[in-house]
Amino acid sequence: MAAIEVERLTYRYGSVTALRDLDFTVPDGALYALLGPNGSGKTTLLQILTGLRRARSGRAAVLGIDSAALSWRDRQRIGYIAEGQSLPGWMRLDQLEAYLAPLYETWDTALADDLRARFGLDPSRRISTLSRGEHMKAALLCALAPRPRLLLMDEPFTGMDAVVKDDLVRGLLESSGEEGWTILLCSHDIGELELLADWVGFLDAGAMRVSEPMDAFRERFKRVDVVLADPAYPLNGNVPDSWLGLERAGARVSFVLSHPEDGSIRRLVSAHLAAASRIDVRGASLREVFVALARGSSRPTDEDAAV
Amino acid sequence: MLPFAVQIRPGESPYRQIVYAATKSIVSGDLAPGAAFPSVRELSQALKINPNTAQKVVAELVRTGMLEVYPGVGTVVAAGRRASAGERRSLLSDDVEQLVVDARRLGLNEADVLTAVSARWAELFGREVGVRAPGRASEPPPPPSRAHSRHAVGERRRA
Repeated sequence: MAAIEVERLTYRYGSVTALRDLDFTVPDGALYALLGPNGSGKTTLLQILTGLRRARSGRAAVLGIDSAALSWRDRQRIGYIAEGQSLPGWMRLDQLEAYLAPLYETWDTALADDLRARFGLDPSRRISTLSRGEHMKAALLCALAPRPRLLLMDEPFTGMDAVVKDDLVRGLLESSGEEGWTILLCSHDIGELELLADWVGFLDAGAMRVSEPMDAFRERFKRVDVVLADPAYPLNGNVPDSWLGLERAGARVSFVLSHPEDGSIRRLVSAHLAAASRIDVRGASLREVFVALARGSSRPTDEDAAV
Repeated sequence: MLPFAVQIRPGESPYRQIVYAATKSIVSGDLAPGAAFPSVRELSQALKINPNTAQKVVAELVRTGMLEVYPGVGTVVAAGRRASAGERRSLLSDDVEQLVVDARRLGLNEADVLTAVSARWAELFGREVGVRAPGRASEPPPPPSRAHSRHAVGERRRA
């Protein structure tokens, strides 16, 4: 059973289509990084998955259950941290934990204690006095203590310093244990996710452009750097649309392309760019692919060569 | 903190990079036979990598005989394992590739590179080791002690 299954999902805000015929699957046990530019529909998607919004058409199932029909018992098994998740500021952390614990049959007090110690949180502190990083750690503690089967996190790293990010990631890994729970994480913090995630999805204008295991993703996306013998060589008409995020500065051209076989890339590139005097190919980083997919096949004009 | 050093570069398979780094420190003796190797969980947390990647790394190192698993005890660096010259050479393949590509890019030829390597070798370890006939590397002399090479590098830096 897949942890998340979405089929032909469409959601509109008035006349604006936020999600368009969306299809994607998160396998059980995955740590799935959902990437996408601002406004691509990530938050809307998470709100549908948690049953906070109803889709116009299509189907979204979490842990095998229609997300529009989740019972209170189903919800116990789903953790959700919204972007900028608010917690009741007037409560102390120990009061908040004591308030939440009876609401979950699976609340693990020992895990809550571990995480509190790991995060360096003082249980007697009032929530409203916590720093931004401590506030996020408290939210993560509350989401992890019930040992959810599925954890959905919307931009948990935004605005966090490097030390807090480190703590959050280790906290996630600490409690992940061996039982194979599933995490879906939306983030702009690509560097943090590159090593953490084993699945990656790229949402763009409400449609899923990429959704696959990180290994396959790494194999196929290549970053190509070309030096042209002739700095005035025209790109228009020579470059296929499948070369993404094309950039040019004089004789230097770089782009990202999806191509699983290493060997034939040079031949392919020189077939299109006869003036190429040097072609370097290497694996593209997640950041490079993200930017290239977001820019798409928009082309620099040949006037850029003059820069 | 891990007992071996690894700096993971984006864009390349972290699995391969970590296996490479660990193998290098085991073959070079930096990680002594019998030394404890981090668990999957420790590896995952220390490097902030996916637990499945950490699992694959340990499985691969066990498969290649670098590590041994003792149930209930943990994973340790395999004892009495003497890497063949071929294995030791293959651990330099990435560096050699980089060197050759860079040299070519700078317009140098093979002889220029070999001369530069010999000269550097002589500086660090003396002439007698550096001039051994190439191609008969089946059983090269043991690497100079770490103290020796550190000393040589230190001397060089002060110079």
